[in-house]
Amino acid sequence: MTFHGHNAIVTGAGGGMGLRIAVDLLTAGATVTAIDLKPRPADLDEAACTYERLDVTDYDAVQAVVRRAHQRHGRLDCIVNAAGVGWFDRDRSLVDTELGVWERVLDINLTAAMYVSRCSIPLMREHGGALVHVASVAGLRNSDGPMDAYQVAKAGLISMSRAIALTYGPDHVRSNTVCPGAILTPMIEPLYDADPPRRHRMEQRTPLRRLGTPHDVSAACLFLLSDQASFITGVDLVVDGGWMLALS
Amino acid sequence: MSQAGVPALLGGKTAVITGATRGIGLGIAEVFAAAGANLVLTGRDTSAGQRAVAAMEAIGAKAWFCAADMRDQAAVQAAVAAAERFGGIDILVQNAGMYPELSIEQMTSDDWDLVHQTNLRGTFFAVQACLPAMRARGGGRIVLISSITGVRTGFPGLAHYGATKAGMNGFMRSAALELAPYGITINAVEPGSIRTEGLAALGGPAIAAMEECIPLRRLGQPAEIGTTALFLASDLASYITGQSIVVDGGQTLPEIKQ
Repeated sequence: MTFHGHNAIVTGAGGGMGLRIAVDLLTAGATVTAIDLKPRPADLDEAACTYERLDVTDYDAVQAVVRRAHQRHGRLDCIVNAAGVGWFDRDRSLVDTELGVWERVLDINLTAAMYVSRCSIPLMREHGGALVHVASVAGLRNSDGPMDAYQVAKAGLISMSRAIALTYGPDHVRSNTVCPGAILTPMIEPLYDADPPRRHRMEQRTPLRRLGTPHDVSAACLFLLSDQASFITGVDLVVDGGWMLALS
Repeated sequence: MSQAGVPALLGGKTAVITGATRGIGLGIAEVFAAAGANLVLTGRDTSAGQRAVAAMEAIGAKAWFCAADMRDQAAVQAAVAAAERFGGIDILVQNAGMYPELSIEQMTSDDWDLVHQTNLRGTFFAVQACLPAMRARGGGRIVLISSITGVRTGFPGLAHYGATKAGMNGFMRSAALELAPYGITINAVEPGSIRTEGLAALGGPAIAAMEECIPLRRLGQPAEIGTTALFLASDLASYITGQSIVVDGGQTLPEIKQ
């Protein structure tokens, strides 16, 4: 899949899935503005890619960075909302979660994606474009946890994507989500490092007998962003090795 | 979409595509040929099959036609076996299907059986037929061409068809669990309104009315089902199984207009 001449914004590009997506878009020929609160990772060459450190829950900062990304190349084609947090220790059931944690998880995982979409879509309507939001299987079904703020935010992201798909379809703006299952990322690795049998259990319970990789998720995102998916909008593509099919 | 933009994801792979002499099946074959695959095409019309083979060869692909009615288990098995001429089956695209419109009141048991035997029992025959070779090769990819009709929506006159398409998705989910240990994935594509020969025959005003109901404001092209099947058949989708991708330009998103 080629993205030559396409200009992309990727949030959450400081590590994990977002970083993989940014690198793969660059490799496929896109120009990329990578956004994260974290410092620029070494994998993202400064010459090849604009890196903007900012808090995606700051609306003014998001608006400014989207405008700059658009101005740099005179167009905006692809948006990837991959910024997100999974606070396994603090995000519990809604009774047990502190209100501040609930609000912050909703802000980062849902509202920030709305900010990026809100600022970007008017700039994409000139000639069409595509958005992909990295949601989660937890947004389609309960997460084993509980981790209520996370799953509510991801369900909200899925609903937001469908709203964009319907409203901006006539402007040739497509919107889809990718819903990863158990993916080996820096967000979840410490959990497995602390509990190796848990990792083994996850592998064994996944029908395809392995954990997912950031590459698996990135490949699905690039497909949905590309012209190969030109008639696909408003869908949720589950990338989980068959995890959602099985009953435990 | 032009074949020029198709990524070469299937170099050296061999795909069996059922119902590939026209419509969506032919569109899938063209995309797979452009992606570098060797092709075994099936259908009931031999002269249309030979034309399809010539079209694939013109794109630069190796292709072979195998006449098969999906109701005939031996013919379906022979089509899968024909992949051996190219080194054996890597990919099955189960696309063959029919959609004769009939009200439930008019429908006879023969009408019901014809559609079920072709669409749903044919799917079982095709999937089962490719398992020995795929297991021996250490894996494979199966893509079922389902529909939004029956799975997400209804359509008067297509109750039997809709039942087979919902049945294909149900079959796929259990098959995904059974086949995962062998490294075989199985997924579905659910086309919405695609500009095939049959649909084009409805005429301009009818098509314009359909386009108005689709958020992307146009019908899909057979090649757009092809590129979705291509993604699912490629290494890029190795962690995806048991899933169904709707390709409908957003047609199933809205509530009906008030």
